[in-house]
Amino acid sequence: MLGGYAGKILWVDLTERRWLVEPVTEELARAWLGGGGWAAAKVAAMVPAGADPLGPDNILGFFTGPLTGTPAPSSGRHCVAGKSPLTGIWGEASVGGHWGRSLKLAGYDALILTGQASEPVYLWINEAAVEIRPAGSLWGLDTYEIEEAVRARTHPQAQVAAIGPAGEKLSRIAGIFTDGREGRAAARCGLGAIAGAKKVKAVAVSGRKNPALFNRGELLASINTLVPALKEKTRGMSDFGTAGLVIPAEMIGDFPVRNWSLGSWEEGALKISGAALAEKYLTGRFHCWACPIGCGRKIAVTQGRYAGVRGAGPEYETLGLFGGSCLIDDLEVICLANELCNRYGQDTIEVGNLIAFSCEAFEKGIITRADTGGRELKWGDNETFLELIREMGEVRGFGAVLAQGFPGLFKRYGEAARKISMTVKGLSFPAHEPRAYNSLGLGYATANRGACHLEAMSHVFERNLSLQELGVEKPLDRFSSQGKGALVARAQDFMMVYDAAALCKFTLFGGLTPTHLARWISLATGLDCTVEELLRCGERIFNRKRLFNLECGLGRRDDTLPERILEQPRGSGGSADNLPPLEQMLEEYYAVRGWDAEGVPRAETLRRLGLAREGHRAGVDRE
Amino acid sequence: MILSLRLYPPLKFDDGDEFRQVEVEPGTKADALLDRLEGEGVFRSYGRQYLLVLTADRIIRDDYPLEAGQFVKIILSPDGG
Repeated sequence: MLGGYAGKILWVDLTERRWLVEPVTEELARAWLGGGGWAAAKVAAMVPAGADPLGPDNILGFFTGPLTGTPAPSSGRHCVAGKSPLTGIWGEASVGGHWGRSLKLAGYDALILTGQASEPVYLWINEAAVEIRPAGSLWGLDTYEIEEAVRARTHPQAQVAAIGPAGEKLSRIAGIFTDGREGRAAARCGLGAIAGAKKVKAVAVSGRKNPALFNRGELLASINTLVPALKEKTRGMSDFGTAGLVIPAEMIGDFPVRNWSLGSWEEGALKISGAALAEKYLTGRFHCWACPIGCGRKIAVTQGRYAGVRGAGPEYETLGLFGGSCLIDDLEVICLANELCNRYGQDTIEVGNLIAFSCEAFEKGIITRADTGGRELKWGDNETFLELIREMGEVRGFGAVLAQGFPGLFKRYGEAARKISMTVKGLSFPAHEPRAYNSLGLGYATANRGACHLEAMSHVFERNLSLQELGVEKPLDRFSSQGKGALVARAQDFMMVYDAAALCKFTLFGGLTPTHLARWISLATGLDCTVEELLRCGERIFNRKRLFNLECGLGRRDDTLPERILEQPRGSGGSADNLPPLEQMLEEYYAVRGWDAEGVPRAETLRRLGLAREGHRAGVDRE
Repeated sequence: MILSLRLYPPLKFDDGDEFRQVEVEPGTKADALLDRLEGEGVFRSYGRQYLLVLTADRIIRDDYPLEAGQFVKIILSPDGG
């Protein structure tokens, strides 16, 4: 039996109210590893390309990795996946906290939900039982309230993954939240709406069965040689959380300003920085399982109009998209807005982009008072900003329009809306600027779930990191396009391994390398994998998701960026003049990937990766 | 030659200020400037490895030759993506 894994995948059929266990085979572990890799293997295989994301044919999977629940640092993550209700293509989100570890300790490496319940339910999964319980009295609770309520019904230390009111009402920007008030989220791609459509309010997990490890002694020894340096190198993250990125991002020109239409916002950024957050509102830190970094911020607003806000503080993405993009420079307003989004269970990245879009659309007359319930939408209007967040979370009024996400807005308002929307494949931009890092532009255009900086993370190698095993001897020129196609492809393959191992990517800043990962996975599982095998596994995973998207009708025309990013310079600040030369980088990228000029994996590539059958099913057998 | 320096929170000079002008030898490179400031205790407990340096809105590396009159910005190096 393999070490590191619990050895079982739990399938729960919500329609028939029954469950079964699939044993984990060595083939599954070796070819797909776990986490996002198993998501690629299971979701892409099970969900028909034409499936309604909110229908019973979609599945919702929760996948841990071989290092989840082990002493490996920052190994508390898991992956959630399904066909996205927001974009209609590959949907995936990675989330930290403690839920993933608890699923494994309950005896399962993964949980896959199929079908649809006839009435609201919650699941209670532990070492002794799998129960589908009525959730009528829990329906309507927010994500902070649900943890306490479910623990009272199950176990005081149960870990709870739940949807809030947004997911219940099938908001396309709803996520799945864990860790209660500490607010960890599988926020992207509208996966919370899948849970809402399946009428699953929450999944509670608890157990004490630590996975057996192939070679615990050597694994611990290897981990212990890295952790002290990892902690030291990530001190900034420990001290200021991801919020510490606000000032440098603004300075570099990486920070969104006014719906991505301006280049600088130094004064505003200083008001909402990580240092400002730490100085005024920080009450403590929190850690995901086994994480020596502890980037989580506990905050409290104790005075003034917004007194009472307490819990997880805003992350960089939220500060960027609520602060810079909507021009809200009041940190207390952002803290409240963050809490509201957490409680409703909605993605702050989508919310921020949607509100910024709305302000610009109102200015341009694309949206009028007739749409907004009589309100004027203005930049930096704190109260309207907060009211829109409430409406979106409750899916009412103009908020109900916005809760359909950008694809819904394109249908409603047409090309004029599309021109001022910063999205790729329907998913809106995280708070990172493609005009600041050329490789980021290519990464956004080619990421499988849409605009995503985490599928490649290549921009960090254009900022301050190097990694010899990826061929990056020193940080690269961010405004150069040379070699960026190859960089993005290699980085994506490595990030797929991270997601398959369900490890936090912040360990990259602590000096984690592919060699470390290969060694730890080998020592934990007994699989004896090399760096080359791991990266090929990553390449396989990336290509499998690409095949799913091709089956959903995507093609080269979708591997693009908004007109504003391709044609309008920011005009000021650290990235004033740069425009990413996408077509040039894309050509190199397709060639490196072994894809044809239309972005379709060639038959030889699919054969090499063991995906010939999947390619045939997708109808893309091409030489 | 004279350079203008700006530190960004949480970094500050020991008088609490964030701005300062310094005089350095012509041809001084970025790493020498940082060595000097580190020796003066400007970076608190963070040390050189935690810093990012920009001038004219460009990230500069250790071997960058500074020029008279430049405005040099020093920030805590970003972690996270």
